[in-house]
Amino acid sequence: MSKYANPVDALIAELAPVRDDELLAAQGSSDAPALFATIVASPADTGADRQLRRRRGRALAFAAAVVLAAVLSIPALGVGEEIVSIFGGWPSEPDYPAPVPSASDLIIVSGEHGVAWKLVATRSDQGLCLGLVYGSGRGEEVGQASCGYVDLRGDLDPEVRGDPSTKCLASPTEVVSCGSLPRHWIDFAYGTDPDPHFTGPGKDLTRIIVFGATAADVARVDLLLTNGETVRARLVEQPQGIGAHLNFYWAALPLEDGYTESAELRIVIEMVIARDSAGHVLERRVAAWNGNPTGDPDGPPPPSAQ
Amino acid sequence: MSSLPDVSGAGSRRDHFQAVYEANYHRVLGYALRRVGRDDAADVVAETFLVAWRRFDEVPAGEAARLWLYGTARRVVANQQRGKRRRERLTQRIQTDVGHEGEPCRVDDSLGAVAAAFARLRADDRELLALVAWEGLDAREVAQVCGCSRNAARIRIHRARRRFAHKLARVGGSVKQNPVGGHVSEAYE
Repeated sequence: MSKYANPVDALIAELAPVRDDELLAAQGSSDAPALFATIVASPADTGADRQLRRRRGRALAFAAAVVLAAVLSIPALGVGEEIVSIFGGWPSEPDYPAPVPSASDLIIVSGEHGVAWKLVATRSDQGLCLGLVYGSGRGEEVGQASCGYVDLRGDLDPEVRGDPSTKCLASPTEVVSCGSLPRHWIDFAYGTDPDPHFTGPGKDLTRIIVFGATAADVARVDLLLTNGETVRARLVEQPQGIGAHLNFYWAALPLEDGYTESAELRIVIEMVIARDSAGHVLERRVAAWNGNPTGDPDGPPPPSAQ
Repeated sequence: MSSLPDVSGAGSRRDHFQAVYEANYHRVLGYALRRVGRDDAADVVAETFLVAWRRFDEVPAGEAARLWLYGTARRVVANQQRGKRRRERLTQRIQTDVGHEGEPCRVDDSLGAVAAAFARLRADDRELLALVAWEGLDAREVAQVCGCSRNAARIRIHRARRRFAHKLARVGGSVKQNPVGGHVSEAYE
């Protein structure tokens, strides 16, 4: 009789190339003693070491967030006396000074999928800041956020558009110049990634939340997923308080079949398509990388996708 | 294990670590051998216990240490495979498209359709099912290893089993359960 209540488990158990009890019997003659000696001869960690790494890690995350998107730990909300912004709490790095918000965060939309989340935006000296914040509600929230140059169509002032002479982090690896990009209708999606749902701070999220900004004349955003489905994103039209003619889109994608094992959102979203009110395609974008900084669907794919 | 060397500077930290090491070495080694080749498994074991030693104040006591070690080993394996994929791409030695199926897994090929169906699962589905079937964990323990809620683990295991059954059917097998004793057989159509 199988010890497994589920027949699938019993079938898979038969596939195991080795069992623990077989290894236990051979343990006395294994490399275990030598490995133990090597390990305990190495220095152990201290709390100070870990604190330093945490600070460094947050700074690095911020550095990436300035130009594209990155996981960001936000220890406290409400920095500053008058301007209340999550983006004001970021540390500066020599090459990536922290953005200075010029207005309090505006909640574009909020929801709950396992945990509460909210999409927030504000203007800054580096351009539009856009972030998804979610968390336990126990004093620490986590998110994906970015501040910086946006190449959206429209007459955007510097606190929304940002400086096109700055550097853009172009996935997957390198920093390229943002300048001289054509005017676009739509940003490629930001969002939570599949992998953190499984292991990381977003583990209790039950959806992959994707989001982005569009020019004001975009009436519909379709997300072409790598599993072949097309999902229509929800649109928030020109929210008051941003001070610019911008729309925002978001979608909560199910954690289902068809997504590859990857921590990269672009593996889930193959293309973002902006349409006007008549349904005509205004623009299509794929994830940018340093060989295709505009996210042109006809441009060369990144090396990892070739 | 009775032949661990006496290392200078021994103290309670080292003693406690030694107890965890002795109780779990074969389990972590088994975990690794069931997922990667023998050479890589040695690296996974070493890295996992090195992390445990350096962060030993975070390792829970008792049986929960095993789950902590599995969780660490899981990340070590994932990092190792990501690094391997990057190296393979750089040297253009990829001969087949790993694409949506993820890394190949180590299974007994003689088991035919079951092995084929298992290999065709997404890597995270394979890992969930392996934690249950190979490591003998229940949903609560899987949740601890994976860092998700128990409910999420239960749902994901359920979905992974369903996807496995679906893929097994596509390669000509099926999951059948004897209603009397719970005996399991693999049926081919």
